Amino acid sequence: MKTLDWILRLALIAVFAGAAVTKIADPGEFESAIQTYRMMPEWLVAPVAVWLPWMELCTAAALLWPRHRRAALWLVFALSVMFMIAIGQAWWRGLDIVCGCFGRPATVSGPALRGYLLRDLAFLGAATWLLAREWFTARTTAAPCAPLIEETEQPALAE
Amino acid sequence: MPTTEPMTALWRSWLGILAVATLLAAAAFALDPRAQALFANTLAPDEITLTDARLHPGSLLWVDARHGAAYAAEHIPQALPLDLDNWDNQIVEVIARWQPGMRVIVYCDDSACGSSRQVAQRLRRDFQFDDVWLLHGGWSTWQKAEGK
Repeated sequence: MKTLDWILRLALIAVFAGAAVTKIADPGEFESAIQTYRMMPEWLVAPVAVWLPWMELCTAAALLWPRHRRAALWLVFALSVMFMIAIGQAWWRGLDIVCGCFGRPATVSGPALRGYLLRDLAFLGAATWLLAREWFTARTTAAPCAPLIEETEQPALAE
Repeated sequence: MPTTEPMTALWRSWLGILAVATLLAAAAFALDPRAQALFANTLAPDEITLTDARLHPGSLLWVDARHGAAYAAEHIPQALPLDLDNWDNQIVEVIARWQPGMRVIVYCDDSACGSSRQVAQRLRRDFQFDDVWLLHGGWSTWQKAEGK
């Protein structure tokens, strides 16, 4: 189990850090990609294009840090949901979009977007699994004797 | 309070990650001229961005003010050609397509070209089109947005 956790965690770190670095390397390209989704007003596109990659990079870095891991996993969860909403609305509206995900500028539309959705669903699944494992580990290490205490019968009080 | 303590730690982590990301983004903006350039694109009063054009709820009439060969090679879907050299021939189709309340957006090659502004001025002056805009960045912005 622990090996699987590490594999998933490292995969998420690699994906989010890799995606962030390609966007930071070319903010103009990422800004153009955001515009193709037609989701936000023009004034918001440039701030998001500059800020979002750093948010992804910090999230990836925080996954390495046990103290901030749970918060980072929730951020991976939230970011994956946000990406799925963005891609889903583009598919629903029939838009041709540039993913802007890993710095490969190619226009995609329609059923071809299914691959992107499935990929984000995989990130979501990995984050959910790791959050569940964090919760389970915290629960068992915080109160290892709790089930024993609950199961032990209390001595009857003398009438 | 056994339940609030982990939540406080979670919030503290979120705020920490958010603060560090924002600081790094601000530093990148301060140091990277390409990031600054994203904010430097100021709009002229008669210009409209591609995003805002696409978000316009009413109907649009795209007008291509580039020369004929460029239009023939490629243009915005549904756009009509209208350049100053072929004005008399091409204006007929533009007037036929135009309807009251329709927003007209004129474009040429990029921000540096002036033909779209001349065409827009003439549409306002000679034909009393009251909702005429220039596409900010012109055809190059469209191509960039389409990933070409």
